[in-house]
Amino acid sequence: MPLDGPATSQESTFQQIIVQDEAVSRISPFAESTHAPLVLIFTRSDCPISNRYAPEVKKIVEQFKPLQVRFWLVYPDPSLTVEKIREHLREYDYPCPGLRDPDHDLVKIAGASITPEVAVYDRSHRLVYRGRIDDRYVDFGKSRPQPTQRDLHDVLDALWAGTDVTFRSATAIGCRIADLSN
Amino acid sequence: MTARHWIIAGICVALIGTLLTVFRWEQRLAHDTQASRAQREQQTPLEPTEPQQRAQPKELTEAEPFTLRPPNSVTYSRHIAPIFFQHCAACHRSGEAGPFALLEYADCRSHASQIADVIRRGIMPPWLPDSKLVNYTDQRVLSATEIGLICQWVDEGAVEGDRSDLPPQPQWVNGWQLGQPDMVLEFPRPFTLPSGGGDVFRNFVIPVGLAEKKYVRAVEIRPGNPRVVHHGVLLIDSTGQSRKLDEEDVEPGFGGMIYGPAAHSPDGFFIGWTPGKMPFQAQADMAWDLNPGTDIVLQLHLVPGGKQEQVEAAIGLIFSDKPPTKIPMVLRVGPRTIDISSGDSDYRIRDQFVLPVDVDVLSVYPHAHYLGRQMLGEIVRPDGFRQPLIRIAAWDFKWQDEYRFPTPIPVEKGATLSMEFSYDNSPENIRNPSQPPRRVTYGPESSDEMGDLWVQVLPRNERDRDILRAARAKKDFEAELMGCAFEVKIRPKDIKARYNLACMLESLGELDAAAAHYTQALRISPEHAPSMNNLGVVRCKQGRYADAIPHLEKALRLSPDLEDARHNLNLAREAIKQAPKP
Ligand code: HEC
Repeated sequence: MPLDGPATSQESTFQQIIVQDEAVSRISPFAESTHAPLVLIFTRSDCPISNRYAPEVKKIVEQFKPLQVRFWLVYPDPSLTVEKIREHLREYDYPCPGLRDPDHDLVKIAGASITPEVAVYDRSHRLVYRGRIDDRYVDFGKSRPQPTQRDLHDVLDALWAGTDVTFRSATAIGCRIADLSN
Repeated sequence: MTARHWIIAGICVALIGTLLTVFRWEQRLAHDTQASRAQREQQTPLEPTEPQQRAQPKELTEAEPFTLRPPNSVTYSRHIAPIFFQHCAACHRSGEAGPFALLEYADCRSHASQIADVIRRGIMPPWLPDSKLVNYTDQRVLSATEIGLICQWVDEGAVEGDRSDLPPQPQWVNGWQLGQPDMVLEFPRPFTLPSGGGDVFRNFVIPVGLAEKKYVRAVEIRPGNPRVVHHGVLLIDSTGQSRKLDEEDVEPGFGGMIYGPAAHSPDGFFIGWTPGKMPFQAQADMAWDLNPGTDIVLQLHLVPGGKQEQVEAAIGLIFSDKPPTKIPMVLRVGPRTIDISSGDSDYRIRDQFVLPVDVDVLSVYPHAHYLGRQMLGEIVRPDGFRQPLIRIAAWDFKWQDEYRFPTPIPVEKGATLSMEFSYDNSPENIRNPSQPPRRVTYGPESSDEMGDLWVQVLPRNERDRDILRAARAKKDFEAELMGCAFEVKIRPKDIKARYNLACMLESLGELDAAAAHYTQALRISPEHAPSMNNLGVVRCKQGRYADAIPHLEKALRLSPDLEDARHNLNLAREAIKQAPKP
């Protein structure tokens, strides 16, 4: 069920979410990053729009990682093996770890529906943003040469500045996660 | 008096053929701007006019409406796989342009609702022309039934069905699609495309090294990496200029969207590569000349895909052993005076060309950049009957292509080839390269605009071809001259624009106007030796030898290697000597 507004702190539920990372250990991204803002980036290896965002994701991760923001790429495709995830991370030069989410636990908790789509949680793991990375794409095959709004970057900037951030969402363009469920 | 051969310094723009008629270009330019303003006020979509008079080709039957099939009866194996095999797999298979394969149930299932979305809205398969108006060879269009079946299948859960219903997988030829070429040209080394950033336009120069002239009947371009190559255009250059540009750039190839006097399409053909398209093979009696010393320039439009990629294209040439007996020509309609003010969401251009002979129209290739919105190309018969050649309701630079008619369209002498394009330079055009928008004028770079309708025609005989060639040269010269005059108008301080215009006027015999522009050029750049020389030549042509000599002398001082100036100076001195003393 997609969350329609800001989640109340569901720390206990969140910590029960255990997914596989690309090193095959079982981890909970929420338990891993207590008191740190957290970004889940939903992606899939065969989605052209997702893949085109790799350089932008890298730029943002490199900018905010030193500021203690945790980033995970989340792969909701159940047919994608850990091997394949590792290969994808390497090929696209992602500077953050990947998580396999075959049962869509993270998808549901974040209310994600598209790849690429991001869910941003603040220090107390309140969902403050869900949606597109920026507004470069307006439809399939229809993109701006430059984004005019950098949503993910801007929300992280606001969190870093300590501004009170209220929940916001913006429609993402890309492949549908629902096509991956059984 | 013996005929003297004055040499003017080289002209920077292509000057094609001879022009016999002198016309008032200033008036034409003024008229043109007025006309486009009047057109703009109309603000109507580009519709083929007078529909009652429009041709209705027989093949274009009204699409039959789709009737829903019994619930849960539509399956992948029986109904959907054949559609995907036929209409999608050419691109959506491994090694081709599509981002994923659509050959197996699992792959199709994992994109099902997105597939329904893109086919319902006509985004896939990619096809720009209005398919209800004109049919083309290899057109990528789904019928209403096919769309209906796919949507019903997705809405009902995209079930697989019985695998024994599956048709055999389509078979693909590995390697060269047209068979082993007579000659294979390869990139000397691969080009590395970065992972991100904007689109890249790159020109790769490949020396051919022929010992003798060849007639090229077919070209197969293998882009090397179709996931990032969006389209390719093959040009030829016999001047060595492109090779020089390539050598000056440390990376393979050189950047930009150049076309021009140096690199151009083989006369009479468009040779290109677009995703999923079979290379075109002309009949044996239709071919183009490839001469020794000519380089091939492959211009690639590359779109970064998120990771670094190596691009290494190859070109296969198939020769014909006989010289061609049918020689097509490409006619260009479209003004070079495009000037779109910032914010204008419906700027329009129009142009036309009256055919002086009977021809058969073989194909069309419309071209604009990122501001292009709608396009219409028509043949207006002498009796007023309008036959559409192409209509595009939503232009997309990325999917530009050549559109070939299944059978050539016979067109009689006196018919008019006409085009009208519209442009959107408002902030609402999300493809606008400039935000906020800025004034955009005619030019080859992706931030400039173009508006060309190229039409490939076949004249019926040698005599007609000569007549058509002369008419085309006149048309191209006029367009070029208007373009140069326009350049000077918008960039009065640009020496190159000024100089080009002066050269063209001079070749028209408009000596006073030419002299005025050379003088202006020298005011902008007093040391410009070619202008100095040419001003001297104009004075000679006017019989003002005494006035010419200081200019020619100065040209020689500015550029002692300028042999032309030396030659002209000698002629001028001789002319003065021979002239009867007053
Ligand atoms: C001429 C080649 C070609 C054909 C034919 C074609 N596609 Fe595509 N398709 C592409 C390319 C290239 C892309 C990637 C677009 C991009 O990267 O923006 C694509 C993307 C897609 C996407 C993802 C949406 C997007 O734009 O990212 C879907 C879904 C799709 N195609 C379905 C189909 C279906 C279904 C068919 C057949 C009915 C089909 N395509 C036929 C080339 C083709």
